[in-house]
Amino acid sequence: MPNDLFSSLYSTTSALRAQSAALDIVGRNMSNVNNTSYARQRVIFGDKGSVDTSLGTQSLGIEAVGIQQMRDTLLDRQIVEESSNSGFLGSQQSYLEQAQTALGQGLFNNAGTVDTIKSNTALPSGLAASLDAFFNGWQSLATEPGSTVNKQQLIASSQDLIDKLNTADRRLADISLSTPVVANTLTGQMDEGARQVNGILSTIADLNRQIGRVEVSNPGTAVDLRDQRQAKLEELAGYIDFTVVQQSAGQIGIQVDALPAGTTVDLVSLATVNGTMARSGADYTWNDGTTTSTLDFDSGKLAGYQEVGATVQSYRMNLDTFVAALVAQVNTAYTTTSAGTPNGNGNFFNSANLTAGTISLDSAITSTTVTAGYAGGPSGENATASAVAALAKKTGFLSGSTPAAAFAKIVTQVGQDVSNNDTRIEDQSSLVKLLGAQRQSYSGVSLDEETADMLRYQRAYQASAKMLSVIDELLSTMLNTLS
Amino acid sequence: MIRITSNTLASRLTDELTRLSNTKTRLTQELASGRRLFDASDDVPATGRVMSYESEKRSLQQYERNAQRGLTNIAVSTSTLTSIQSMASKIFNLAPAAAASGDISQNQSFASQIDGLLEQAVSMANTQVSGTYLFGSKVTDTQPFTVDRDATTGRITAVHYSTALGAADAAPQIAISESAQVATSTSGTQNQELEAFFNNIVSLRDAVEVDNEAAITTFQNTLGDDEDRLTTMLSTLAVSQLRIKTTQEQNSTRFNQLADLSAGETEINTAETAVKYKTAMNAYDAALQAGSQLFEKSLLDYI
Repeated sequence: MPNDLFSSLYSTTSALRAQSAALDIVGRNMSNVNNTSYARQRVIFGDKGSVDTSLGTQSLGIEAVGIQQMRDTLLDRQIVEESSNSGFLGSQQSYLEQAQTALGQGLFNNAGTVDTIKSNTALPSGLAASLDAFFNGWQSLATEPGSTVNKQQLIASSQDLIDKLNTADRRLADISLSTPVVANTLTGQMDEGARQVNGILSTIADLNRQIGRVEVSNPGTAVDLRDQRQAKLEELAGYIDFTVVQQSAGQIGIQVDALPAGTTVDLVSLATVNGTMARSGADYTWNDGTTTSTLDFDSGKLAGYQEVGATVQSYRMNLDTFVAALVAQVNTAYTTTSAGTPNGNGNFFNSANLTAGTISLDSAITSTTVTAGYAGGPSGENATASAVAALAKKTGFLSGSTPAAAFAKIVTQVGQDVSNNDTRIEDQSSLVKLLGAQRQSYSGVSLDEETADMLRYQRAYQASAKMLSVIDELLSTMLNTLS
Repeated sequence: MIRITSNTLASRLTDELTRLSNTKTRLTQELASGRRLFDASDDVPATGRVMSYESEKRSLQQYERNAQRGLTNIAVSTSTLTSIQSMASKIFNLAPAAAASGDISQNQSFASQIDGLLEQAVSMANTQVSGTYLFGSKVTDTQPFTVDRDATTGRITAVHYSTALGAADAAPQIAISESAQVATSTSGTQNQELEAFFNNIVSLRDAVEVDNEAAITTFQNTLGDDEDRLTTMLSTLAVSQLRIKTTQEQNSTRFNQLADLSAGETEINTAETAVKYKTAMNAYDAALQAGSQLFEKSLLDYI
């Protein structure tokens, strides 16, 4: 058959089909130029075979033997891992910043001179300033022990400090994981995260089903579906860390660590989601219909929520420790003489309320009953007010620090955590961008490349078409000669 | 050679524009507010220092309020004691004339003048500042000096210092710095000397009235000693006043130093920040221009 016009007609037609397929792929690549999860494709051309003729071995022509997807599985795996780390850090960022804001500590240079403020009647802004105003209120009372105005001012500044501590605790409680866990904004976010994961798992299982159906007979050909699944895996990695297990017909399984350590749970196998994820207290659980397992995430948003919840709770504990020291030491100074014997005064703070969320004045304390001295003492006695005021400079107030320094430690601890997290996010972001650029470099679409390919295939198509026209003319000439 | 795709260019340009935009926003915020610290995380070590500086500044402002109050007390006490001392001098000067007069009616006139001065002195010793008795030591809500009066003439026959000594003896101290405390009024013991002084005047008045020359001389001498005690009381107050003023100056200097330190941590160098802002703006413009040129042409434009 080769070596005649009909065989040329046959091979030219095959070439037209191959160039046409290549142009189709170019068009698909161009249309996905802005789809970051798309991996560019290439047509693989192959020889249709060859036959021995009297003139020697001759080709039967070209054909499109397959489509190659330009995807680097190692890069894909790295991106999935780093997406998980990014999710872990990113989910903590806003909550740590909220915790920082919750403490309500502005950083201003109090302008003016030493005598700018002649009176302390204006309530201060910021917890640190309120703490100082509280101790300064005792100073004022010690200076004028009988002053009704100073007593009223002391009660006002005490109540202001209490209000600010209560508010700070309430704000922190909303984004922390207490024991037992109380439903709040953070747990709501954790619930939403679990719902998102369930949805993504369902989509991945469905894509598995579609890929399996295509690739059971043509392995590796469901390239567009694999792109979609890869995008979903990266989305899932934002929430949890997991292991991908290769299964039959291009399908994958998704496995995560569980408690006790060393155990695993299969979330997805082939086209099936094996259960449902939910939050239970501070943990995430997986219920497969018969058993409930506690999951153990190290990275991803869900682990980030757990981490930040525990971190913010530790801030609350630090604030509570501070408040317990404040209540105990103010009450001691208020109720005892310098010799350590009772002076007849009742407590200033309610001694049963030792947390930032509950601190309150003793029920008997009012601007009328508060005293700078002691029960039955002279009206100008200021020993008690002086003793309480002196606590402001007591270096052994809490862990070798004054009250102001102890509170500053709490603020700077939160600030340091926010700053560290920001730095880690910045580093992580650079890494993710680098990996993304590497993947784009390999898998991304270049319009210049595609345009060049388009011209190449167009010319090849035109050449084949011209060849077809020539063969047609030759055949026509021959047939006309015969007629 | 790394393969640059259409998306690589776009994403790199977007990343750079985002980074420059963030820098611009931050610098704008700094220029608008004049501050570089907004949250603790902006500069954690600086935050710790600023909180410490600001806390100390608030303490210094409180010490200043204490000092102002103390100086008021001292000023009024000094003024009162100076007036009483002036009255004592007048009485001291009246005594020789009364002793030498030998005229009962003239002596009764002298006694009447002494009595008037006594009434005024006792009244001044019960001076209050903002409802607080200055010469009651720690008992500030009760009139410190009470008098017995003759039922017929209504004249003072005895003066009593009503505050019991003991716990209320020492003058209350107020804090004027982290390490300094001062008394801004006289002690109970000193106030009790005023009681003796007033009673000496009563005795002198009575001696002048009956022209008892020997007694006049005796009580005149005693009055001289009382004047010295008043001088001692004034000296005590003057020492406190000096300490307060010295400490005020130290506090003011320290406050200004802290304000400078705090400003150094919290505030921007405007010129430096403005240059940074301009640089960021230029970089942003350049990125936009380069980006637009990169995307302006492609191979597609030539086919």
